[in-house]
Amino acid sequence: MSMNIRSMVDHENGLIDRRIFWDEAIYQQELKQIFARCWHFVAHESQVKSFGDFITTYIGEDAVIVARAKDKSINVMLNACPHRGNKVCFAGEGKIRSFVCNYHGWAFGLDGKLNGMPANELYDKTEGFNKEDWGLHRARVETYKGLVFATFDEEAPSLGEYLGDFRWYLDAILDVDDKGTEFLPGTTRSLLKCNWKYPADNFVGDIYHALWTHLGAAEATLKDAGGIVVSNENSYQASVNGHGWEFSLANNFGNAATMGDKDIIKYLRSREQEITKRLGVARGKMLGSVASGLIFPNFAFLPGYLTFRTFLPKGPTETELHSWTLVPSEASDEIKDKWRLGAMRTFSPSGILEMDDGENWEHATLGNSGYVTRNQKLCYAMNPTKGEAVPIDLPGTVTKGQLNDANQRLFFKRYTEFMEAGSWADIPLAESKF
Amino acid sequence: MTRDQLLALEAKGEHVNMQTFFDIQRFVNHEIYLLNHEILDKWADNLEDDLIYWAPIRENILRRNRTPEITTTRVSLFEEDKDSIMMRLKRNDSGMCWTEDPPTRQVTAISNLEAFHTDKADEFEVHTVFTLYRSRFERDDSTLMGRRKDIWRKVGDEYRLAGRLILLQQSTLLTKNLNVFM
Repeated sequence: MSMNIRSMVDHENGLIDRRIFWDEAIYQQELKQIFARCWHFVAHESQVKSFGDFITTYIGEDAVIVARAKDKSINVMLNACPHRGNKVCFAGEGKIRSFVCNYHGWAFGLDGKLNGMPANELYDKTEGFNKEDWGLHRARVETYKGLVFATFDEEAPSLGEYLGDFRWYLDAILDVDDKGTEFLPGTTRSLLKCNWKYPADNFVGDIYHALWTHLGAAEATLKDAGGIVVSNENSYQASVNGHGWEFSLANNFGNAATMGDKDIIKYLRSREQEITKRLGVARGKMLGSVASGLIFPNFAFLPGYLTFRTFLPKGPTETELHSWTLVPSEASDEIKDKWRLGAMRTFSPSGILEMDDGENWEHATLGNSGYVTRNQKLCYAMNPTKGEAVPIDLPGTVTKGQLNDANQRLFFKRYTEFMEAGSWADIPLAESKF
Repeated sequence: MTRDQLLALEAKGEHVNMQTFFDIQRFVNHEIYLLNHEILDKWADNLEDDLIYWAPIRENILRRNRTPEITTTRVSLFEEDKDSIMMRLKRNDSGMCWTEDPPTRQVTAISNLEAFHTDKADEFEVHTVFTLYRSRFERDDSTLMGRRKDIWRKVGDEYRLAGRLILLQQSTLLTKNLNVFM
């Protein structure tokens, strides 16, 4: 059954039908129309540094392996044996030479090729059987400054076109010096009983919630600094192809300060001049500022805390949160360790900020079990700076004022484009300016 | 304390005698009472200044991979000292922690208590396993099981917590948060 998503999402006026956060048929369409089409973050290159390193994760609900082969290539393939369908790798990370299926022993290389199986003479005598036809199903793979992305759609544009000018913003974290970035070891995983789009739309452009949701946590770390400071003065929302970043250029260490660690602030201050020289005044202020971002559809990050996270869908009402801490490789071990602790104490299952969020998203989702409730519209109408000019030159669709639902409306516009498209040919891409 | 010291707790010391076991058990049980009843200032009073409170993340690692599952370089679920515990208590006390109102109901059952001497006369290695049940609002619930490896320090007539390694068993936490101490 094809659902008429356009009738449920009025992105211009910011009216969103609650059924898109609940309905099983819509969810199945999302797996096909969005998750099987988009470029998805699957790993940081530092997680698969050398030959044989692998991690396992998901694209949508499809289990995948990310592995570094001998020729240094990074391979992404379904974690599913093509013979009878069992998973071929049950570890979350490690080092390996080949993936051997537990069921019949079919063995696959780090590039997914079928290398052999027990009693292979049975297949040698099988007419028409070619090992080359039965490797692990591979995805296309491209990287952007350390981040590895994959897509299963042969028609998808290049990663560069998919990210478009959002790359200009990403560089404010990924390209602040010549040494690049890395993930600290370890993946934190937890389960939220919410629809994946609630955390996604929160990160793409909802700083408004911080003024209320996080008051208690802010009291613990920011009381002496005057609490949470967010305003529409010198702050913006930027959207490109559904990706979004809302940020302040005034309160440029605001996110970082919430971790309550003076050494991280000192480090960011020490880097500001050089980053400004490299990337310009605006991006010189974006590494630690009050901000949040999302790469469409479900890969989010927070400047300052440097937490990066995917909201993996597990049905219309469950989302698995996988998160990592990213650090500049050039930082000292002491500073990296401060980030390891700071991100954990704020944005992890025990984090004083993350704990506030999960409860909200779960109950926003679960209320939709009521027929009358889910037939209501949600309000994404906030638009306090309508018609006001953006005083600086920034790429993408930019709105003045970070307290604004602009990015969220554009996220749902993008969502609708994907849900209604017959193929990638129907999906528009913003032109690059930078 | 250090995390390396906690990783070295392998139940290899000499078992304590009946009286010491009984005294330690009283403190271990009462700690749970304080936590479950949200008497957190009193709980914090019984934490040593050099406390390390550590819940590492768990990961699925192949047996043939020699890298240990738990190392001090990996990210954690909790990795606290006394100061950061006090910071967390401030959030609870702010009166603006909306998601904790109404409060979480919690009960922690502990068992398998073993207590050993260490090479320090005033420090004891104490192992327990726990089941933490939480219930919130109408029907939101979560059950977590784990193992604790503690160092309790005898100060006068009291035993005080100096180190705790919490080994939860899930590599994907099948719950949205860890909003209570274990």
